[in-house]
Amino acid sequence: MKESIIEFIKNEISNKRLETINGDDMLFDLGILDSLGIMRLIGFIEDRSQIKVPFQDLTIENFSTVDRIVAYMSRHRV
Amino acid sequence: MPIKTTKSLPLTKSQQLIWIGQKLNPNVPLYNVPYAFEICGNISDKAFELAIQALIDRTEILRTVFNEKNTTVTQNILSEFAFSLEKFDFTRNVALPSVQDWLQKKSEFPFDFTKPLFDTALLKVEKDKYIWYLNLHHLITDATTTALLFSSMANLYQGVLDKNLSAIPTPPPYSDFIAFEAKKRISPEHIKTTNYWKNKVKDIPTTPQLYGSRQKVETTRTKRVNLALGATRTHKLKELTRNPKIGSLTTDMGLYTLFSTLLFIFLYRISGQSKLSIGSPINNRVSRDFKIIPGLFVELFPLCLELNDDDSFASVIGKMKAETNEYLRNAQIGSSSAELSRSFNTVLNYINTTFPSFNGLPTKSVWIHPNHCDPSHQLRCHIIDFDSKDNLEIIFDLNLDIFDESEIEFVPQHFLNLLDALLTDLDQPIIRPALVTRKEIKELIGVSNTAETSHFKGTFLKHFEKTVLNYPKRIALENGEDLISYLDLNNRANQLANFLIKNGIKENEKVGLHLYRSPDYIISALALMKIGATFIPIASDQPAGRIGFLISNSDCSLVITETDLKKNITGETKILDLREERVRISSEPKISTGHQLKKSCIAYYIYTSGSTGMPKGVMVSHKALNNYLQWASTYYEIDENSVFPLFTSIGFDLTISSTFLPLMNGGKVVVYREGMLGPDISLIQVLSENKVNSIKLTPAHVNLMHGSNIQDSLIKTMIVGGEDFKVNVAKNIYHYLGRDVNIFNEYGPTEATVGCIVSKFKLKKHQQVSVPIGKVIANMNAYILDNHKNLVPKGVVGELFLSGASLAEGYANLEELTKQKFIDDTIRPGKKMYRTGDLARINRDGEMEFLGRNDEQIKLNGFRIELADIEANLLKHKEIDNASVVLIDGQERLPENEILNCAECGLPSNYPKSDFDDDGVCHLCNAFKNYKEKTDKYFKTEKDLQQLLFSRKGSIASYDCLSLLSGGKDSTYVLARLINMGLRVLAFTLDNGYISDQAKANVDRIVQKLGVDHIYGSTTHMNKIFVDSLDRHHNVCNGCFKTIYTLSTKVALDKKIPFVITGLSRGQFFETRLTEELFWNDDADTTTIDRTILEARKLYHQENDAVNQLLDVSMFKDEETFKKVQFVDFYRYSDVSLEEMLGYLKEKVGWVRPTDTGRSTNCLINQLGIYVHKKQRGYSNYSFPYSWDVRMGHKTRTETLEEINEYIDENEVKRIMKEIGYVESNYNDIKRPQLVGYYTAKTKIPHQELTQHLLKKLPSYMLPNTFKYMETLPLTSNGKVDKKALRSLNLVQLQMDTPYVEPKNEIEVLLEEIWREVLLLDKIGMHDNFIDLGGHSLAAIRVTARINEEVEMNFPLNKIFELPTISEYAKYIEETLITLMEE
Repeated sequence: MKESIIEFIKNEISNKRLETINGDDMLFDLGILDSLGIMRLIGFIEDRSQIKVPFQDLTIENFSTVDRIVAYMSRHRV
Repeated sequence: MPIKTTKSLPLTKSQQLIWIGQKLNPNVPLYNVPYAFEICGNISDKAFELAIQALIDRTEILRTVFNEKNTTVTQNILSEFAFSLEKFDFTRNVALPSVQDWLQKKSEFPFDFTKPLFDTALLKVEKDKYIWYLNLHHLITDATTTALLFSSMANLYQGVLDKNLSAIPTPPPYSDFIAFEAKKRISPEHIKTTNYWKNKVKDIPTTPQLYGSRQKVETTRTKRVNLALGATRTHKLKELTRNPKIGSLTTDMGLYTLFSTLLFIFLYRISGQSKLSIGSPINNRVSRDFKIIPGLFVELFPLCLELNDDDSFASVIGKMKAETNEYLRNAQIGSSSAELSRSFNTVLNYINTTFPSFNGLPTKSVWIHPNHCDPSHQLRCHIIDFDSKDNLEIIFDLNLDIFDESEIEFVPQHFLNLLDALLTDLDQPIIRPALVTRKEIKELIGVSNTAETSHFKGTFLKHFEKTVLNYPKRIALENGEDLISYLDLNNRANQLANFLIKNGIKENEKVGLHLYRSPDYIISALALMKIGATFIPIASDQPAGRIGFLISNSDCSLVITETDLKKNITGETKILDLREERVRISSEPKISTGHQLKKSCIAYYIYTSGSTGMPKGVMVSHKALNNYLQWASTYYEIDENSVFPLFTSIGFDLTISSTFLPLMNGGKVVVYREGMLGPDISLIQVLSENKVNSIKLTPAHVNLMHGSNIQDSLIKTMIVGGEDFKVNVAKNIYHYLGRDVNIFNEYGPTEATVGCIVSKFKLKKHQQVSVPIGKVIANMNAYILDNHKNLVPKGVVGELFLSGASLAEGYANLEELTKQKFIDDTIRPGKKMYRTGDLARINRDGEMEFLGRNDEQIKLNGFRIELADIEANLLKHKEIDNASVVLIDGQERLPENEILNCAECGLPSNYPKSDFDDDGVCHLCNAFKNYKEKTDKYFKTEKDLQQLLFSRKGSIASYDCLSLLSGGKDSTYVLARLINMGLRVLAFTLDNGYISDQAKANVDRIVQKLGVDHIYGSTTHMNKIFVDSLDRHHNVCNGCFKTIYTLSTKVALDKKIPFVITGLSRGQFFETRLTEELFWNDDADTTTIDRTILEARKLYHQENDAVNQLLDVSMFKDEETFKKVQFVDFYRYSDVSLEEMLGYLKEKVGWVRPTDTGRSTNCLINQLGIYVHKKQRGYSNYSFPYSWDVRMGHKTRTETLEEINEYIDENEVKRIMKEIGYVESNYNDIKRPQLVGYYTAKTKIPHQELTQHLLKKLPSYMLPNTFKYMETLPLTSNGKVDKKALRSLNLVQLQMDTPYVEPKNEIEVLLEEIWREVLLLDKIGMHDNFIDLGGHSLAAIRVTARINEEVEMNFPLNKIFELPTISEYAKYIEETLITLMEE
């Protein structure tokens, strides 16, 4: 999952073209994603898993890095 | 040389919307997006011009033109566009205007759509300081585009300087996005999202009225105001985005949440609307390529929120986050629409683009406002930090039709106050922070304060006594022939005062004045003032009960009255009959008592109606009275030539003006004594005698004046008070009376002494629906506050509070209520303010407008609705004379767990008009105890039955009787007993199609076992009869019974059987045959009762229902039928207990309780009837008959409760409904409250027309469900529209085609009361039809019996069906009585 998230960010939604994204790169602080980007990413996650992300879960803790997103997903896997 | 263009491309959705907006406002620069980039450094003109050309070459949108052919608009991209840059040197050219003016003028220049939609220039403004002016039409740009062009330009400029232009990449073309967007719009998910948005805005009632502005927006002109938040606030805001309660992923997202939250709260506070929508652009740059393409990408979508007074900032933030999430998920490219845009008039534009530097040269960027905006955006709020200096700025674009000068000044302040509150305490209620600024408070109170400098001296009495000295000979009172001079009046008041002292009346004692309008009344009031006592006016027409209440509630130690009225006063209060004591009083000295009246003494109590139903006494001090009278004397220019009529009720505080204003100033009071009986027609007398030049009256009076001949009226001063004064009423009377009349609208509750806000009607200025109430009087303050007691800004609706010298001291002996209504003044601490319960606002002229009662602001389906608003709009219909809108509560339903059952009979407490005593016993049980004995003689023994049935035995028929057999225990027992008596019986069963198999088996077994002949009756129309019965009676049994009676009568007639025996229970007798009225008469014998029941039965068979229409009922037209076939109720003759019955059945018949109906019955459709009845009426249709079974001792309460609460199989019910073709109505309609618009007009206006009329002005949720045409609107005794009366019509009555007419004479009043009691209704119009109201034969018995009792007549039962309206019946009674009298 981690790889496909990174690929999706790199190919589709990152604000700038990036060579690599590390699991602990701060997606927002580094300006990799904006609000539209994150919404597309959530759509991507929801499409590929059974998870429905409620807005309350859209926090720094859950979504600031790819690693955290993966951790969030594994916590919520159905 | 023709320029090559690409093929025609379509417009994106967003472009289409802008195009339409531009077409609607041609040649207006409302979509110009001009910027001025100030660049500090040396710029080479030449290089700059080359760079611009390179920018154009590389940017499609700068070469795009728009073409409209027929109705299709396309955009075409020119392959090349040669541009020469305009350059201006402001440092040298003195002919140029100022830079600012130049930029502004240039920015407002409209574009030519056949050419590229941009304009640019380079301005040298100082040495080494340039301005790059760049203006693009919104069709080709958005905020990101400007930033992209800015940075491209910087790069290209550098490229020109470095001579490596070709190395600079070209961005992808905008046509990529056009293609992408067009594809999106035909994708399957597009339908989903457009539906989502459609549904979203469906719930938004209307756009909010910003600062109460009801203006229609016509102009595109807007004013832009900037609010720089400064570094500290910006820092705090950014800090706050990291607060876990905001929990935002990015600072931008956090700020967006905060600003949208604030804007919603701001809108809520300045409009009062709960459900709100704000438009907000989404940038739509969903891919990396799109992020770098210049062009219009943004698209507006609504954010919708519902706020209320209980919200805190934090709770709104919570809602906002959820809403933003939904917004982001659904704001899909291309799915916006004009329809969505109509849901908002406010736009939030959070712009995070920045213009940091021009290739290292410091810049300052300004977005120039072209002074025009889309007129549907009344308020735009942009958040920017262009120079990315951590210094946020809010830009407000305010439409000039909506916002006036002062509002424009205060909008940023108000917003800032909310923002600061948000930064201070997230958890505070959103209504807590004050909105208005200190400057406004001054102004708001200033508007309503005519300077507190003018403290009036003395008391009314002092001024009156001075007038006596000045004008002793002038006439003070004119009472018919009797003229009383000031001196005389004063002498007589002194004599009475001396007499009262002698009789022990002291200062501060309360004395009732139960007198006609007369010199005596005025003399008495003056005398009481002279000894410092309080007078309580009690008008002559008051009912005895109210008089008693007033006297005891006010602790009167004496009531001054006259011989005619003395009889009204009961109890032990001392009475002074002025006529009786005349001689003794006039022998008293004429000199003053010498008492010094204190201003703090209470002058009078005036009782006003209270919401509790008990009147409350308002205590008005001499200080308050004097304040009003002195102010009014000056304001209305009352002098010794003023003549007022005293013609309104003395118990009404409006009358204080007519009585005391002239006497204070040497004028004259012409007394019009009320008639002894009937309505007060004094106004007509006042007008026809034409003796007065000043008058105080209500708008209702003004309306009455219109019909009189008043062309020559002397009236020059007209003070109107007591009710909302409509402009059209004012206009009419103004034209009618001639131009030199001064008409004043005086507002004021009794609690603030007669009047405390006033306006002078001005024909030209006052064009709204109501005359404004105006400005506050001397020494009074009026505050318009919100629910948190904050002053609302000008224009915004709030509740009116009054404070100052005219305030009453409170309510007599109602401390709690006084505390609730007279609260601490929040604006001027240390004083009290009175809560009026009235809604008001300050209009643009600074005058207050009355907007109805606070409790008339209702909430319906979540929408806040001002009834006055609907009324005002109804009144704009040219045919409507008067209108009143009320909310009629839906049928109140007790929640099931709150329903009580009578402790004795089990009747549920939700049975209509039931009344339980303290022991939980119902009114039916209690009433029954009083006539139980009389009912005993109706019941007989089995022996009597035997005698009756054998009386016609031996006739030619082969059967002695026909026994109705349902298969249930009761009818089976009947059959068995009849056979036991030795009778030849034919058993008859109606097969209604729903008899259970087991019940049928029972029937077959029974008849076999008993060896009795048996037939089944049936009809093919049964289902239609069921449906009809459900519609009429909300049950199936009524239809079934009537079918049985009809079919069995036919069988009996054919077979010449003389008796039909029913198995009705005694309880069912009281449902279908007996009423308590039958037993009222002491000498009522069973023969009379039987005759009445038979009469009712004849009527019953004439009632027009499905049975009558579908079955053969011709035999009932023949009177003989009722003689040939007699109906006998078995249980009238048998008092068998249930236990005994079941034992007998088991032993003799082998009756088994069926188990396949799931209920204690043998009929499968029965539960459908119960289900519908419960849904429609809230209780089982068996509740009432079973309660009678208990009363009769044939059932226990427990059995009853078990049976009426039995389980109902809803699936089965629904299945049967389908089977018989019954369509369930929406039960919620009954429960739902409904808006009803009452109106008076020359003729009834079609519903459709009224709806159309209102829809032009009101959102659909404000449309009344029903309109009711009235001949006149009912008025309360004080001349105000009686809304309580209007609320008590029920839905059936409202739908009747007849106008509601109140009872006008005694007989009508009597009939209405009787009908109401019998039909269990609150109000009945004189033309309402008895049958339509649910009247049937049993109700006819009850109504007729009661009428006969009351008027001591013997009207036949069928009269009510011949004359089915109260009006007709009353006329008939009247004529009959007159004929009798003449005889």
